[in-house]
Amino acid sequence: MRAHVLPVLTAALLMSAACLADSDAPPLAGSTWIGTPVSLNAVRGNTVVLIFWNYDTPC
Amino acid sequence: MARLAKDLEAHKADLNLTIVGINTTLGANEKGIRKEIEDHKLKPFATVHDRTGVICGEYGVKWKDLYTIVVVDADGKVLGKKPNMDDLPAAKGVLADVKVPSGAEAAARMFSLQQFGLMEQELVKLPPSADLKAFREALKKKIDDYTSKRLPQLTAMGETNPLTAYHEAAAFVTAFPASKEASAARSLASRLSSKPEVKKETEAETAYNMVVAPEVVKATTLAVYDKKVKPLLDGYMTRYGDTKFGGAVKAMHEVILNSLKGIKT
Repeated sequence: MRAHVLPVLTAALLMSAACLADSDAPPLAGSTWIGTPVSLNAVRGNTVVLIFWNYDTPC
Repeated sequence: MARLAKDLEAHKADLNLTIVGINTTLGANEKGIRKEIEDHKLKPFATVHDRTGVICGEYGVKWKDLYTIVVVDADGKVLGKKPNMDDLPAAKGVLADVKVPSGAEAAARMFSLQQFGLMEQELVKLPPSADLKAFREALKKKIDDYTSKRLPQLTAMGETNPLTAYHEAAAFVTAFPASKEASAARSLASRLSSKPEVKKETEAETAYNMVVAPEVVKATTLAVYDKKVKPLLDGYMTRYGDTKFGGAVKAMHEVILNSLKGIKT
């Protein structure tokens, strides 16, 4: 797949995504985890940083 | 990823911080993601593959933002996007009430990242001591407290949001395979997976990944897309268009089509 197409695919729902500021963090529903799956519910008490990246993220 | 590496270095010892990577490359496979993680040292935190763009959509992350940080506070509220990991909000921390013995900082860090296998690897390196024993017991108690509270939550969630409960129960079993609740969580996931609304969603995901996705990856021109992908997609949407996953696929393909047509979105 062309490199510029790859990130485009991730836009599935962004058109309708509402601003989530100050709302409950949605669960990370993914079927493929590298490492132990993390439930945001389990780490209440910590600050959580979600880092979104893809193959086209500049090195 | 230089910025990311710098951010991670600055926070590598922060016990009050949990980091989760979200890979948004749809055409990627697990092997490829593992290689990227190794190459760019995106660890020891966990990474989830946002195969369908659903997590991106729920967090309002745009594909053009190749590197996006979203911060969630200690109460589980989304604070929004940030350009980097400077000035993160203070948090009491999941280990605030636990005394971390000298030398056990790495194990504590793995606990904060919820990477329990790596935590064990760190713990076994340490010489036995009373402090270490107390630390181990405190960690175990925290895990036991969480798993015992979480199972009823998942069961209740199964009544109101079976699809999310299914995903969460499956993740619970993977994260806490030795917990006394694992068996019940596995049964819950199995039970939920047979509910019609969950079954159809999981079937929709499987069918897309097996039938349509392989052709999408190869469709680098509009002509190829029209010839190879469109017929498959039309058939797919006939069957799964009414699912949540099918809705995401539809939105995703509108963006793909616009990209192939050279239309900026």
